[in-house]
Amino acid sequence: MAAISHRREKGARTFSTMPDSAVRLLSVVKNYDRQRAVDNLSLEVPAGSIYGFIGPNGSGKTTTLRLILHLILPDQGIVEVLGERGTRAANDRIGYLPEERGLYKKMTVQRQIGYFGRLKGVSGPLIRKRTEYWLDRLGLADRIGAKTESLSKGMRQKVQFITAVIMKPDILILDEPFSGLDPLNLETIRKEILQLKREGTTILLSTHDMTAAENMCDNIFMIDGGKKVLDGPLSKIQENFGQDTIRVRLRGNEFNSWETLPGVSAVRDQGRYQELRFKGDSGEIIEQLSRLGVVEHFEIVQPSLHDIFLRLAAGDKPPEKESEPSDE
Amino acid sequence: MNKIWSIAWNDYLLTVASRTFLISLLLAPLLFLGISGIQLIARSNKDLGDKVLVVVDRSEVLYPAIAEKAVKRNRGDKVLSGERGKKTKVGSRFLVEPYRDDFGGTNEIEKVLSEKVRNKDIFAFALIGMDVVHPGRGSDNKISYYSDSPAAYDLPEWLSEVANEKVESLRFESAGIHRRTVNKLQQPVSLDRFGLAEVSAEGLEKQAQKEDMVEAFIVPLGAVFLLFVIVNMSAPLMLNMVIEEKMNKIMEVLVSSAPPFYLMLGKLLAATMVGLTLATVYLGSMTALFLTIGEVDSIPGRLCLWFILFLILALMSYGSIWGSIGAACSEIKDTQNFAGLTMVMVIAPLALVIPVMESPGSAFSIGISLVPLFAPVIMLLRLGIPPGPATWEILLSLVLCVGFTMFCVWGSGKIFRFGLMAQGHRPNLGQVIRWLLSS
Repeated sequence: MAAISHRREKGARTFSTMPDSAVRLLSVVKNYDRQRAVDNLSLEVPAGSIYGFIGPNGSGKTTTLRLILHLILPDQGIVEVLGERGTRAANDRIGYLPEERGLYKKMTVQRQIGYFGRLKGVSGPLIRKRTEYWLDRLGLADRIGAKTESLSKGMRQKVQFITAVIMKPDILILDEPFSGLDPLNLETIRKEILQLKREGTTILLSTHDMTAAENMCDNIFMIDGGKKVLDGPLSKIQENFGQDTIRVRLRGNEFNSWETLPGVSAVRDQGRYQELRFKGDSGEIIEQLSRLGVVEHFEIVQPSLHDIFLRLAAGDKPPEKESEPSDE
Repeated sequence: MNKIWSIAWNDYLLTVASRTFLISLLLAPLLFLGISGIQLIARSNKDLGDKVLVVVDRSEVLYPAIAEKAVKRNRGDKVLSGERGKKTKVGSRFLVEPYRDDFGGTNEIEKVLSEKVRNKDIFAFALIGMDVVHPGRGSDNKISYYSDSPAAYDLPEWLSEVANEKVESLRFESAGIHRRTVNKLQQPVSLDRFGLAEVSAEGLEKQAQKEDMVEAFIVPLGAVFLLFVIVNMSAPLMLNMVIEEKMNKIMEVLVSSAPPFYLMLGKLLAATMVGLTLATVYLGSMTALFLTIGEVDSIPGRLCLWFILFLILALMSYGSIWGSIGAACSEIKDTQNFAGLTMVMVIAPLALVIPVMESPGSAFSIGISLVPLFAPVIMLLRLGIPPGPATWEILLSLVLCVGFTMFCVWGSGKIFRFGLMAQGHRPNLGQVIRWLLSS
């Protein structure tokens, strides 16, 4: 059953049909020279969701995004975007903010946004209307006639964000959208991404900011060495990993041999507390801890996305119980 | 089509609205005028000081004639020019002196007089052989000229001329022939050059016209020069546009918005429009100048049309080659090897201009004007020189040129497709060929 997103602006597409999956990759392989960048990758991005792309540097994230955009073609497998298989036909419905930002330095903000809008097939009057809307929304209304080279880094990033959303994309691909932003600008962009999601845009968010991914994404996809290592709703992924983490703080104790505690396999110093990964009976650990001093804080939690990322990047295997793709 | 036009218009505006473009627009003709101006200034500021020539006349018959001619020359318009009373010096006086010391050996004379040249006491000296008038009588039958200014050609040329003139007279005299009679016998017949008479299809005869050197040589050469300048100012813009966008990381967004072939076509169109803008400005200025001086009829309208047509073809073919280099490379320094090769291709036709001008109808000229990379320059040159090439030659050249341009655009599109996303490593020729051959 295809979902239908409504477009009310004059001159814009009035209806655009959106399949259940905005993006589908099936057994995709991509090699660069003799190096395999993407290895037998399959994934399905549910329409209208925020789909988090995580993975270490050089894991194949950007290659996968470029495959989705048809900037490069797969050596094997199928890439289907908005129901269009193996063609660039859907590209005008995809907004793209690449990791490496780039704008014409000598061009004004207005011309810049207009140019990228026209390339995406947006008509002139609509571009003007949307440019004003977005500049106003992101606090850049007074910079409409300024040359890009005169803008601060944060402002330039906002302008580039506008160029990615000026055509009201059905899919918005954001590669590290928060890098280099101060907390204020970061919050502004974060809010806009969530707003776009509410309006029906499917968002592919590639980021190293695990907190942002954890807070914003409906689904998490992790790639490492070109292979999928995680894919599914965050809650299910965390569930699969189970409650295997203890957060503990001892009063005034300088104990630092946490690894010697029974069942503790890994320790992470979080500053204000220690995070212990354990197997077995937590009761035994509490007993041992109470012998060491006054336990100020003790909490059994699911591993954070950050933690999961570190474990998988370090070579740990994901739990046996595989997560399923989201059906949202 | 809208996307191609958007790209073309954007890149065109980016280029022509830049300070660099406006400066280069003015700089090219200024540079040309500047070079001419510098030549004029240099000419008017050349050394007009006296040049003292010491003559060692072993023939004992030439010196008086040389001295007499020098005096005559120094009073003439080669030294003083203008109306009587307002004469200005335009050339050096040649002051000829005999070698007064006792004759020594050649080595001794050379040593003494060379020192005088070095000390700037004299400008040069000449040793006239004993047997110059009758060379059969001995081996000392030459004139040797010595100076430390090998590039100064006026004095030795003049000396050779006056000495030979006197030697000839002396030889005629000894043979009993009067010089005036010889001059009369040797009076040259003047040769006027004409084009061909024509008879139109209606039977109307058109008389042969006297050849106009300006029309036959200056105009076609000027057109070729202008085409060369415009192509070299515009086509390499493709390289700059693509490399800049790659380096500024704009290319990835552009390629996600428009297929690489559209991008390449748009940019090519922009470079062509820039070239046509330059042509409009330069040709417009020339027309305005000719209008002002009332010589507008001297502008050959037919050649202007061919100029524009071949300019477009040259811009498209060379532009796509430059664009491919930009697409294949990630940084300016990576482009150097490829750019060098392209520059050779661009400059090569210029080396052929003189042989083609000398015989525009030869098999060589016809053949070379059909080669697509040379055609814009060589065929335009042949079109400018009356009577011009045959219609079939023009048509064949155009077909080949258009075909080659289409091939360049197609190949460039392929290189764009692969090259734009291949960042971070320097491509080699083999890789570029693989991109070209891939489906």
